Amino acid sequence: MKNIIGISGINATDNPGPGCAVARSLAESKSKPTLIGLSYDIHDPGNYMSDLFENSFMMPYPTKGWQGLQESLSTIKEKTNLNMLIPCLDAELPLMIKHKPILDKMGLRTLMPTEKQFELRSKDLLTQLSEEIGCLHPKTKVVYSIDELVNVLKGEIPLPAVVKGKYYKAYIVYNIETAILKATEIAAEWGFPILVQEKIHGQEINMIGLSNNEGEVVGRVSIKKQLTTHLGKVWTAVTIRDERLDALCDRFGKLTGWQGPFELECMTNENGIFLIEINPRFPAWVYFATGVGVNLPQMLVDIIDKGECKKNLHYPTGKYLVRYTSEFVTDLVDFQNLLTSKNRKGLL
Amino acid sequence: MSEINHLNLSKNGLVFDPRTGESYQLNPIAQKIIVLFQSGKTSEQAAKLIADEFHISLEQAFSDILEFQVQLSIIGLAS
Repeated sequence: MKNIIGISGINATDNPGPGCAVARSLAESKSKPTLIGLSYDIHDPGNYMSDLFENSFMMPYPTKGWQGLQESLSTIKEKTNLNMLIPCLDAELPLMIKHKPILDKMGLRTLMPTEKQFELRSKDLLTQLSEEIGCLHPKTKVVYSIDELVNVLKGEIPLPAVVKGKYYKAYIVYNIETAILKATEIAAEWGFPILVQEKIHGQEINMIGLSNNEGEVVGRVSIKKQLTTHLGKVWTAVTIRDERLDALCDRFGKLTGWQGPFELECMTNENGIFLIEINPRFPAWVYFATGVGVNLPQMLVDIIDKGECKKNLHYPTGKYLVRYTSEFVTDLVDFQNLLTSKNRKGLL
Repeated sequence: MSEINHLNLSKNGLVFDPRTGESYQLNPIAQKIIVLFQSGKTSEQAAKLIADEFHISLEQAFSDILEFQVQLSIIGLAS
């Protein structure tokens, strides 16, 4: 059976989703599956990348609920024979995970963490998980109002601090006024709670990883970001190997029994490694791992297909990632098709 | 000084620490000291070779090596 794989998160902008990098990794693999873009925004660049995606389909926002998403996936399956999904966006994962049995029945195979695993790494529970896997974690308080935020910043967590949304956005704030402004911005978009976190000094290091069905880490690559955008997104980076981070990753896999891709975001200083965040999906820099010989998206597909993949924990250090902007020209009809037929090719 | 064996010294004189991702530019004597230590030379043996190659006194070479070792420790390049 040829794999026909739906990939979301195809917004390859200066704040990119992982989808196009996942697609590129699979396009460079030996298996050469057919790739279908799954998009929530007609302007996602991936919608127009016909060199990567056979077709691309518009889907209703996950915030509108499961019903619409399921109907959309069902329609896409009818038109393309879609038989595998690689969800790449935080906002859609809770829905996809919750309704995995329905996806299975529809013949849409996936490898995702369970609901329990997904919740264990949520930002408001990370303090507990960090203790259990034996690593440091910045002091974090969950607040449900601006008054509460101000009280925390005047007491338990002094400035400078980090103000974060439960799902998206994080800002370093140096005074109360900016903290209120940023918390209000996040709450307006994503609601409460807001997290207030101690700011840790040191170097940011990140690890991308993949665990199999038994929670065994079968692939991983660590990097240090060299240059980032104003949102902290990587622009240049270098591969590193920190044995403490490798050990932390293994403990995370064993303790949670994690299934699927993940990213560990950490800070390191003279006190050790602080676990800042765990993303339950591939990060946008996943192609860096592919470029140094660890094709995690292909390994994920192998696990879904065969129940296992060849373990690959070796990669060269000192390899350098350079992200850049580029353009291509396509026809307006692609945009029109996406608008009217909800897919680039205009299939009815 | 085996604890610097993990460092990667490039031809253009930059040393890369693969544990942290940090790079540092070294002068020619510092580069030579790294090469000598990574080849298993002791401080005394390295000082003799440095003194011969850079035409400085043995005392000066030994002093430079000790100072460099301290700097490596301070910036965390030598564990």
